[in-house]
Amino acid sequence: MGLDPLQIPMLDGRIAIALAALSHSLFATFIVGSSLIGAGIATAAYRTGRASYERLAHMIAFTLVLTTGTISFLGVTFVFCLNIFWPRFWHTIFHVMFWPFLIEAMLFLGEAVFAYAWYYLWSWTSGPGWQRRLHLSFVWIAAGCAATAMFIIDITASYMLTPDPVNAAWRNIFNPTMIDLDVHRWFGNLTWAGFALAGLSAIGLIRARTVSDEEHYRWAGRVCFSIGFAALLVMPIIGYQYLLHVRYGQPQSFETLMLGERSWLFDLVALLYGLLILLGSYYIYRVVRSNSLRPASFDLFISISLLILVVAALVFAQPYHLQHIPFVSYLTDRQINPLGKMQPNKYFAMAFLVFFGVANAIYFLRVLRHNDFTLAQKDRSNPSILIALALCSALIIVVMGWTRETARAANGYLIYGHFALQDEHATYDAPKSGRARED
Amino acid sequence: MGGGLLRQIVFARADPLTPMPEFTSLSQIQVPVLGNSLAIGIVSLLHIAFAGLAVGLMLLAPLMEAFGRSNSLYLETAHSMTRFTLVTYTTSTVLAVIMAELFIGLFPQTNTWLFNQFRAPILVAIAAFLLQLFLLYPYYHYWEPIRAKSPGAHLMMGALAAALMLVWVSVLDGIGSYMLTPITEPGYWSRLLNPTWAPLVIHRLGGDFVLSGYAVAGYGAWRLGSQSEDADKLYYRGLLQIGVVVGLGGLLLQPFTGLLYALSIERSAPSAYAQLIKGSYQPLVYVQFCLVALLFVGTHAVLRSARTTPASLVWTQAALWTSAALMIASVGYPDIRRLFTFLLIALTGYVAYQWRNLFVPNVPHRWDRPLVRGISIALAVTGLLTYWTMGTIRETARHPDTVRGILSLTDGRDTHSSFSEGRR
Repeated sequence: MGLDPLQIPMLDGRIAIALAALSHSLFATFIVGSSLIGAGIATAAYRTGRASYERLAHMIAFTLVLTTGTISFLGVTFVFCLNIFWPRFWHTIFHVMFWPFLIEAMLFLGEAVFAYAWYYLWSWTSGPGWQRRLHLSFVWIAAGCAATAMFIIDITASYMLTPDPVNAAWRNIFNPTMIDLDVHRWFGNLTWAGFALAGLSAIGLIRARTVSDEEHYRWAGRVCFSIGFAALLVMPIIGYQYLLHVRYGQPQSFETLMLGERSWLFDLVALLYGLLILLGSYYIYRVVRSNSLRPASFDLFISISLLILVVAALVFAQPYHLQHIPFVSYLTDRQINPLGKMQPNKYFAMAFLVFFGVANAIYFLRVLRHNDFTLAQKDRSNPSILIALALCSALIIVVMGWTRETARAANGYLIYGHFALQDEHATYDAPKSGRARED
Repeated sequence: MGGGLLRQIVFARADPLTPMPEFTSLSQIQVPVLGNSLAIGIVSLLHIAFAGLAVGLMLLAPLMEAFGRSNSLYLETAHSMTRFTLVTYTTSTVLAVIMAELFIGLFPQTNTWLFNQFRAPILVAIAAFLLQLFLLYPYYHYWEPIRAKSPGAHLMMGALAAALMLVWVSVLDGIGSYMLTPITEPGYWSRLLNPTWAPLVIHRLGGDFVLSGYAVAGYGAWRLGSQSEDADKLYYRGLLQIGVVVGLGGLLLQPFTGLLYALSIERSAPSAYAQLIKGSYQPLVYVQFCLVALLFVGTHAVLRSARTTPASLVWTQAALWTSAALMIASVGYPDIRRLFTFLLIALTGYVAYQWRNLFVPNVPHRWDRPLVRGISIALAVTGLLTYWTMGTIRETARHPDTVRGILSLTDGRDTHSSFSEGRR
């Protein structure tokens, strides 16, 4: 009894798995973030009774239903792909992590049931008090299930990088990188979902036909942007801790990411992060400038802040080992770019990005309280910036996921030190060939 | 490279099998209390309840929408059916994921081996499912805007979504039927077209209609009891009637599709068929025919109770009930049982035809009676139980194997193959 070899290069299988995993994770992260944001907005709607909060909550509920439906399909696809392209690995990891996988799936079921109840029983928001409270509880339960499911799946994701020990699922819950990964994803999900919802509001604003619609979507865009931007500012601090634990827990992997052949991926993350801070600050500049009640210090501060952020973003994205960037050998023979040193250049750049980002966010939150904006009704620049932020945040989520996975795969491992890509070669090649095709 | 991947996967003929390494280093997982088989069984039954309903309603929705051109009740029914499909969509899919995960964890060798016998069909099924998803969501969520622009295009979206769902279901039925009647021919598509694949697809499709029809009737009956507005009463009464028509229509066909399926099993796997009819799981077959009989007589009872003059066709009705009883009594004698089954179908069909004015709008009938509503709800439950029983019977036919004659459930005592897995 055995398997028919696929008779294709393993790279094809890796691409198929990567596509399935990354598209799945893009929606999964959005669901966690948007359910948490939705719970907050719905609570605000319940407490204040403001129609704008309720309308925003309804939009979030709709996106949650659509993405939940999509991810359930992507989940099935991912499982099928793993069965076909990496059956041996899939069996091994599933055997070790059987109960976490099962609990995660059940929690997702809980998320789906309550998210659907939240959306499809929307008429309860105008019902008697108990019905409104029950309706509000739906989104909180959905968010709780989604966040717990993420915690559970982070056990597996971190275990694959830092298994400790290899064959004991429950003892691996708190493996060396588990908590860092989970906290990092909490803020990453809020960033991505916040910007994505801001982007959707921006599309709503562009398509709005009435003044009240325009006002609503403009306000919704600002609220969602502030959530995404605030979470973005926390990311480097947790990311630093995460990398520190990768460094001590799996030094070879750390080396690959920071100085090795895949360091260009980390540079790409840095580039996207700088771009997000820069675009966000530019959006803040445009919004706050349009408010007549802005603080007097803002005009001078934002000019300096934007200038510093441009420089910091450029430095943060600098590569150190130039030849590790694909195709750069066609342009230069230089090996080292001194500007790309982590210490002190990138640490300073990161600190500036966070510090000035926080300062800009404080200005933004201050003027957000005063609804005295004088933007042109047909302004298209601000919505365009929000859409660009949404796209960049989607990209950074995908690249971060890829970076984490490649930290193992570049060194030939699917479970670090215990299950190698080599172990899956029989799935691809017939034994008669006697060699593995890893092209 | 990408083209090469697609070409190789879709058109590849299987090469001689290579040995798969044993996963002996890992300990066997045991689900506490329930046991491994029962755990998968429960989740599978939950999944097929949602999935069977969703498939039936997805197929009915465009049909109802087409009828909705002349009667708005049908249009509203189509909308409600699609709403139900969407609401339960993720639940059904996640239950499928849980089922697959249990399968992967508890019966890894069967899972891995089986999936890889159907690589190309699975990829086609995934593509069909994805396209279906892109059609189904706008079909419901942009119902009015799309219909305002082009009702025909909207109808086409619903029909296409249903057709694509059928592709998905057919591939899964291919895997399910292969587990009972595997063939040795190489090639992914040949395995899919195993001897019991087509009969299973047809039989399950009929089952989906029976399940969803009686579920719609049960729902309509349940809601009808609590309505005070005339318009609402009219709508839910309409749902009840549509559900009974669909359920009965499917029910009249099912014995024929079931016979086709049974004959195909008997021809290609006689021992499995004998195990069903005479083996240790024979009581399940009795249960199945009791439930089928209940569906027939229950439907008759609904029609009779809804009439203002139930006294007609007295002898025909008596013969109908007698046929149902004799069908159950002769379960162990297939030829005699079939005779009574066909008699039951003919009598039920005849009675329904004679009482067809029950479904004519604006003719006074007693569909609102508590008895009619109560039996209709009971029929919905019976429909689900029948669906579950049939699913269970199919699985027991290959017991103790996971893939009949190839892979076994047992721990090495009675295995045919080079390896075994799991424990009951």
